[in-house]
Amino acid sequence: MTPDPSPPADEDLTAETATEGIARRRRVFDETKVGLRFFLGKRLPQDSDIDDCLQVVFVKLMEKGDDVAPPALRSWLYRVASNESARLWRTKAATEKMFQKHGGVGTHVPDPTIAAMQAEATEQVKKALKELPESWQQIVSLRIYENLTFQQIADQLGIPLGTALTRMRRALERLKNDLSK
Amino acid sequence: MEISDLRNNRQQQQDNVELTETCKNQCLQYLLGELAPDQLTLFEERLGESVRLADELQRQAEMIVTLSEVSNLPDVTTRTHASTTFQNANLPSRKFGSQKWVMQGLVIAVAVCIAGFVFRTWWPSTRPPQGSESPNDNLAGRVINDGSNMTTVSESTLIARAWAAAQVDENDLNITPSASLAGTYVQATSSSNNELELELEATDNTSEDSFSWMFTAAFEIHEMDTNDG
Repeated sequence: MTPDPSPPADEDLTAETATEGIARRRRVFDETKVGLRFFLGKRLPQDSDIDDCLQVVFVKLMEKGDDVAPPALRSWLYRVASNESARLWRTKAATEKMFQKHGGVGTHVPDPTIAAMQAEATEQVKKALKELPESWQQIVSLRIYENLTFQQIADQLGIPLGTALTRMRRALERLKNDLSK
Repeated sequence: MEISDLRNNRQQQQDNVELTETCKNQCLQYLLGELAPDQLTLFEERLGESVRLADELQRQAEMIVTLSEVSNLPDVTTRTHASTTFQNANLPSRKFGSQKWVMQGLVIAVAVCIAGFVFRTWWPSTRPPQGSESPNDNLAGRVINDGSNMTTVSESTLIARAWAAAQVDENDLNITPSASLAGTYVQATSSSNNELELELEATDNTSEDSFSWMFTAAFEIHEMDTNDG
């Protein structure tokens, strides 16, 4: 008779969770890689730049992807890819090279005002969200914060799937306009 | 060729993919991982062909990430919960919670009433005797012992009458020995017209007496006084 296996320790659970997180992030990257390549192909002229950019995106995903909410992970990848492609453009620009030569722009200097700016931006987003129609807020909340699929949301609210999608998209458009004012 | 020229050329390319509402919705589904596998390949191919589609995807991605970074939205989520499935689940528990408080209050009130009643019932009998039996004791005793004619009078009324008789006696009221206590008949030969006020004055000094007892007793005194045939 074999003894019952002892319950896993907290460290084991933590390691298992970390492994699962890495596997999940890698899976998302593999699913998104093709789309990212197409996306970057419209922004970067050379395949080598696209490969470099994808490499950076993957590294950032492994480093910081665990802090991103699961529903937004794919969007986050696109944002990183977009930012990275823009950075590549800047890097290749002559002016950027000049700034880098003088150590002005390329160096990373911790800025104490960043946290305050982020907090302010967060408040702006919250305020803009509250000004949305309630039916739109509902969709955003259920999709982003409750992580329900659009089909589940549509079933729950008794609306067509297209309506749920359109409300979400309109909400994003309105938020972007409000935040860019 | 300069890189900037390449970029301009890219931006000036004719976009042969029309950005319809369906395309925009597919962007959303794609970014949130809900696009069907058969549509996924087609969408990615179109993404490589259309700058506008890529820009739309980027805009939506930016906003989704921005929203996800605002992790604490109590108003929105609360309202969402309240307006969806959680509302029905919460209502019974809240209702039950208020009922529970009402029930607890009711139980406490009943317990206090019972305790007060028991205290009032047993307190006179547990008092040590003080000399000879006074007329008011006789009155109370007769009231309680006269069971044959008390069928229509409640026990609390009897206690109130006994207490009232004691209070009346303390105010030098002379009750004739022949006072009949059958039922509610009492003769008080020298009861004043202000018995009700006297009762109230007498009981005001006793802080432990409840208002209901005073009211009942006053009513009984008044009844004894006026119910003289």
